Amino acid sequence: MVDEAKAEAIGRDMQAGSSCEAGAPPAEDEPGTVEAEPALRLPQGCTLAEAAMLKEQLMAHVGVQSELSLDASTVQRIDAVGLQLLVAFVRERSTSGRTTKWMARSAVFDTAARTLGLDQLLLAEGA
Amino acid sequence: MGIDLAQFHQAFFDESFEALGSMESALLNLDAGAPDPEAINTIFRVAHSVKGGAGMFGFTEIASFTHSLETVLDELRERRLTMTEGVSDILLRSVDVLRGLLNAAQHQGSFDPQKAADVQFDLEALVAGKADPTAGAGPPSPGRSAENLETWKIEFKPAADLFTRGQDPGAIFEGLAELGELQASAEVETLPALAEMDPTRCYLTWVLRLRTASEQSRIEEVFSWVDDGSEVSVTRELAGQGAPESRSESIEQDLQVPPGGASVVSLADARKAESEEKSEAMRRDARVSPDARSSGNGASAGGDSSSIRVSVEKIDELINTVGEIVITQSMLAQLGLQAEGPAAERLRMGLAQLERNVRELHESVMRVRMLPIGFAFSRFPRLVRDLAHRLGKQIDLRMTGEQTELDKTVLERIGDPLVHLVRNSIDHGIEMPEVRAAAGKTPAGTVHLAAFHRGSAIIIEVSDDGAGLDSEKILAKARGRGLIGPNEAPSEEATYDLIFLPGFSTAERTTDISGRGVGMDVVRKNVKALGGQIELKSERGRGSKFIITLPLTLAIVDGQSVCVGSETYILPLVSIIESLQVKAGSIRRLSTGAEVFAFRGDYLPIIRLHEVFGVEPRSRALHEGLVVVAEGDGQRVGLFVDDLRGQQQVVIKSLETNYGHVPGVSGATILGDGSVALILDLSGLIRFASGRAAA
Repeated sequence: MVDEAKAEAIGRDMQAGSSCEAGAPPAEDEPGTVEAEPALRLPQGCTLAEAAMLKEQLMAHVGVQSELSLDASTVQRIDAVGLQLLVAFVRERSTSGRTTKWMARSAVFDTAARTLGLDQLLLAEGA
Repeated sequence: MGIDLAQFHQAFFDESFEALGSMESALLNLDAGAPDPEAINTIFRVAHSVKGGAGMFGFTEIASFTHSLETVLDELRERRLTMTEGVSDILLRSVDVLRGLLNAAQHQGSFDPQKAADVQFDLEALVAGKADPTAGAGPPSPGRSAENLETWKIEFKPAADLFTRGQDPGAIFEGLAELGELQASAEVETLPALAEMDPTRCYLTWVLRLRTASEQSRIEEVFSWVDDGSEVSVTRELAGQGAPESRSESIEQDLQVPPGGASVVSLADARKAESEEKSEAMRRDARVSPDARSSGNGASAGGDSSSIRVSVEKIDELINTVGEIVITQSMLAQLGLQAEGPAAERLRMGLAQLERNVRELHESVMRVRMLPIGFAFSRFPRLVRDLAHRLGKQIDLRMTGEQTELDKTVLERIGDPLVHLVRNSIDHGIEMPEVRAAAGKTPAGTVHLAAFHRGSAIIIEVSDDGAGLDSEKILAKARGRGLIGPNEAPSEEATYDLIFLPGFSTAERTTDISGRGVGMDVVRKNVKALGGQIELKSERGRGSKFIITLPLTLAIVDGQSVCVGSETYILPLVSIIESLQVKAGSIRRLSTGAEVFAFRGDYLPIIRLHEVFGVEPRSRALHEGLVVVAEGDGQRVGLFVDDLRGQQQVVIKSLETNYGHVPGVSGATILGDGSVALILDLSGLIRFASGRAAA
């Protein structure tokens, strides 16, 4: 799941000090050590066009791992369709006692979540 | 793996085309210099909604283009850019480009990228050039001062298919955020488990709070392009309280939300209990006035929340099935007549009832295919404006009877002939302003498009108050082209008829607007192909009027059954002049072998149907059968048949679909006894018969 490029990107984002309000782990570790924690990188496009694919991807992670980090740092397109899926994902994990954290989020992601009033839901329930 | 978005495209295209229509008419109604801010808002919303949909479905070209368009509209809305004739032109050209781009996307075709780029460049130049101090001299946008600020509570419960209709709540909320300070809060009560989710369906609802100086109507307008299945309520929150107020009070009561405590959860609960009726009432209350949506073309005027979109194929299937039922019913009726015994009378009563029901069903289904002619008229304001502009003429366009309904197919095919007639009126009919003034007329000419029903036909008139037709010029031209003899002096009516001949054009100079000499004959051909007729009335110096008479529908025809030998043929009633028994003495045989008979001082050629179709007639002697005088393509002939049967409405079945084109036959129908009868096409029949005679 986690390849080198991904770890690198994650590391880059963390070094850049991206806003991880939901309590992403402190960025003290070396980029390479991120691999220790399971992480799910969201695709670049999380819109209606990619909805089915995103759902499949999320389905594969909804009932596994008690702690999961989401990486939205490379999300370039996201709309209500993608965010709705993510809310359902985070919420469902939370009800079954699983934690979902945010590792990094792109500006596009944050803006979309805020505009649609989903930021609280996404972040609060993940904690 | 991905969802096939193509299944949702059609709705997006349909809605976008409709939206562009509204946008175009709103643009045409805009006064340069003092544009109505509401109208600009409407146009802005249209662009915004098309952009949102295009973005969602991945039509990047359209999204990019509409983005530029939207920027210009925003500048206009904020009065940083002044509406001028030039700006209006660019915006209208943008509508054309958008239409082209949408067409290309819809049919996987392509649209001239240069054309799109040119207009997009112009749009961007408008925004870039607005720094010009004279351009932005409008008054500042109306009071956004702090004391006018109010907080509005907006409850938005989208239809489940919001996403697949190409509507992006994000774009809608961005539109709201432009009005003021927006706080959005989504509700996820109805969100199912991930596994059960249809990812394209919208489960979310929103409660938004907007602090703005804008009026309620402006807020509601942001939602005006949201699908009808969505619910929107906008209520004012009093400072410090949050109690709902005024216009939407009834809605709040319906929802049983305690005033002042409209918490998100209780709202959600209330909604679950909400009945269909209430939601309907709510929608009506919260919707923008219908004219903001349809802006004048009347085609999609109000009350549309109770309509659904159905594909034409489905309706045609339905019509086909009803056609079959009509046939079965007439078969049963014939059998019923032969029935004997105690139950026979009851059977016949039942069959009579069935016949009534079937007729009603048939009429209702045919009505489904009917559309208001406003759809065909809607392109004219633009066309007239552009043409008048190019020719330096002043023209008022009047349209009446836009609500008159006619069959969709007829509607689609009548568009081009109408365009030609309107162009013709503007180019040849209406005079230049100074000529008009010299003749004591108003400098602005009037072109009037009118539609109305008369019996089972629809009449469309295109009239102008221009110069009228110059019959001497027409005669001179016709003589010059050898269309009539040098000494022939046809009646006025016959003279006007000359302009419908192929290759006739009276324009002194050929323009690219009309008058390439391929016009009127094509118009007449198209009208005839629809089973209609066109006539022309004109008065020198007062104007001309083209009158098109069309059948209401192409799917049924009033027919006269005639029999030849064992075969039955259907003649469309409209083409029949009269039927008679010819006396042996009135028939002449020409040297070519063709037969003619005397009919009211004329000799008409006789077409023997049994020869054309190769059937054995009851009798070959003309005086023993009947001659039906009928007209096609302006030519009258006598059709020799054995006998006449009854008149009836018949359902036209296409021969081309299942077999192929047969000359002289427009289709077939199934009669009550189950046999098939061919429906004759007079024009084709005359051509076919004269071709055979010549051969």
